[in-house]
Amino acid sequence: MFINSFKEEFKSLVTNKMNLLVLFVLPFLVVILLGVQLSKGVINNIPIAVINYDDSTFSRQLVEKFDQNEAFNVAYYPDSEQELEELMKNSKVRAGVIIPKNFYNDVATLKSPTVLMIYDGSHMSITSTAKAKTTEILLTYKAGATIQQLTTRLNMSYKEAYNIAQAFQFNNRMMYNPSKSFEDFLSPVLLIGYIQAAIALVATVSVNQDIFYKKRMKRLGYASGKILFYTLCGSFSFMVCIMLQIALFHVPFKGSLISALILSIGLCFSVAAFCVLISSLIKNRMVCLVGGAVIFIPNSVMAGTTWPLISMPAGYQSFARYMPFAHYANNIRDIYLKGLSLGQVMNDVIYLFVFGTIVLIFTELVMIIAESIDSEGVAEDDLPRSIQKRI
Amino acid sequence: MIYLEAFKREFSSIFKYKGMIILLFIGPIFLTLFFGGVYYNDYVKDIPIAILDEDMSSLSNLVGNYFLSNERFEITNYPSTRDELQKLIDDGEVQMGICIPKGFESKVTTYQSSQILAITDGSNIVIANNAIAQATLITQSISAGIEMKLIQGKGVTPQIAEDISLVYNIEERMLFDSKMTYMNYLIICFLAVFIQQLMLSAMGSTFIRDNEYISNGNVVQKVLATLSSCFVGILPAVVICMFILLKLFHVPMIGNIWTVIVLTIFFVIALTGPSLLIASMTKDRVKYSQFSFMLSLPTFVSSGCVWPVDQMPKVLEIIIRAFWPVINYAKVVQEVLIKGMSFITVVPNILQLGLFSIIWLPIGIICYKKAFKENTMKNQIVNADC
Repeated sequence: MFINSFKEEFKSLVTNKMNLLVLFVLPFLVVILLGVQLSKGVINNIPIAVINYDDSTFSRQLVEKFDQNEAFNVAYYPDSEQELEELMKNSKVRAGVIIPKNFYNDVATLKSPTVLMIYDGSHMSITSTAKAKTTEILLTYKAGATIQQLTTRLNMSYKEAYNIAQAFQFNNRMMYNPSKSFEDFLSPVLLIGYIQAAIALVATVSVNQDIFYKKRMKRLGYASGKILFYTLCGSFSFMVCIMLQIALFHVPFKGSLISALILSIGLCFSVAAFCVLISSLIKNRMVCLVGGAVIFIPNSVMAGTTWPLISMPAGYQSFARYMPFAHYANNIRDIYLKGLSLGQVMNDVIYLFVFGTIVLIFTELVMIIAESIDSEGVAEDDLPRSIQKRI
Repeated sequence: MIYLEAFKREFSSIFKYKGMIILLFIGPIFLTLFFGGVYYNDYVKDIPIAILDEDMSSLSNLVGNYFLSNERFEITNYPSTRDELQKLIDDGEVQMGICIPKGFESKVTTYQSSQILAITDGSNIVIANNAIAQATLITQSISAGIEMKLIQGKGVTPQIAEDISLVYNIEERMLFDSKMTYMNYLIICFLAVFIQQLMLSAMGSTFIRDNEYISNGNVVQKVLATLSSCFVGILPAVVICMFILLKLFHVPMIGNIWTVIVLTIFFVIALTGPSLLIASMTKDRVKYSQFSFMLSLPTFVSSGCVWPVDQMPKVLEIIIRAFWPVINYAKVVQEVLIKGMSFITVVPNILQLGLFSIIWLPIGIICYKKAFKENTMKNQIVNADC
């Protein structure tokens, strides 16, 4: 039965073009979409506006520092703050620099003037880049101004003044993703989240309930054949996509493909097992499909792929610990970026296989309970009433 | 009138099917609550860090205390060597290591510049960016104090020392979302994609289930009636979702609601063409749903919510605009609501949605008529043969 079930799915894959499309073609297209879309890796040319009330050489040089920095494009020179805010409200600019009147004179006479930075807080990825670059520019320029004051007022040497202005430097070394590339950060986990959804959408409608109920002695083999088939399909799809990411879009992959493969097999096995359970439990194919989609599409967000688990409410953290994807997402990213070895992810690999096996056993138990239920017609979009009662 | 008759028929059919009730009433609310909960906390807090203090001086101790008392960080380890620190980062035990070198205090107090080195695990940019921004603030604050003391040491008054040290100040003002939270950044975009997915599913289900009725007679009016019935069906849930966002998740919404409604109407009309096309190609509700669910991620990623539209390659942007309408809706609605973006600014997006509908709706209707009329004819022949 195991082999027959496997063959049945293979035939279905060949004849049902939608399964081929969902499992292989769409993930391939998403690799290309992500690769092309995020090809710049980092955000640059952020449109900003400058109001320079001072118009001294000193302030103009500061504006030039912004204009010369590849992160910014000084796109507007509004006359007032209201005009700047209007530009920002309508997304014409994402940040604004306001240099006060008499800026240079106030610096020279030690009156500590204030440079005001205004940011558009509605687009986090742009604003966080803008903030980091702005801080860098303004602090460097400020250090230069302080050094100038120390050398002219206190007659210090440049070296001595520099050592005061830069009493200590704060240097940051970014490991594993030094360019802070969004592509390297996002594309591996988005992709596997997508393939996970593909497995869910195909495997949840894979069980032919008639066969399942008729051949009771062979149903474990029947379910296992389907699980194995979708485990292999998902793993194959993911490995092909990894290769494409590496070859076409040069996404860094420091780990070994074997580690990625074994981890992916673990995830695909646990997801396929859970989806076959849903498919066995619920007769209505539409309800199965929506169930699979609702469970597996959002859980890539819950697994800490973008917003970290440590920052989620406690209930979400507890729930996420049991989700297969939470045992996969950060590991696969670390295999890509840090070169994590199989040994380092082995606990999670074991968890994924144990999860899948327990679900498979649970599927059999559910069937023992379900076999006593009379087969009844399923109204469109509805669960059979007797199954509803038992669930 | 055919439109009214079809509207009544399709609207009443929503209540006949549990699937439709789930999609239109429960779906948006459940997903909003579920995703909103993920981003309920404003900041990344308690980032695990390690401090390697090679100096063991009072100044290095002060630096350590600053990090210790900051709520964003949790000092979980105090390694004794750089290798140990590196291993903690490699193993993912800590997200950042702060390394204070030997001779730090003596160098700083004798007018020789020194440095504090942060080693950050950049594999999760969200955590890394938060950690670096906060560590920079802490070290700037310590550095300014030290700078003043050093200048005072040159025989100037504390006031002049402070004025030289603060040669100019930098003030920041964050507009529209002062805390710059993930919730305000993403949740409205998510809601836009939920509306897209649930409308697609509801419309597609109806187009396929009632194909014999819709594909005959005045198809345009019947398609518009189907679209209207699904839209009217989903509206109460969307209003509740907005209320949840406003009251439960405290998402600031200052924009004009009428601008949002106009955008939404144009968006759902624009979705109808692709929905008809997918229905014509699949002709089966399960296959339709499989395909439409698979659209959620690529359409969300290409909507400009995660990666800005102006940072995409121009050719890709044109292709996305030509084939899917959410690029003119999700991020735009977020900016209208959060920032109060004016109606005039979104007119180009409304025009693009209109243009999209003008092109794709006729294509969808033609394909739908062709696909399902053939289907109906085949069924009639089979029935006649029987």
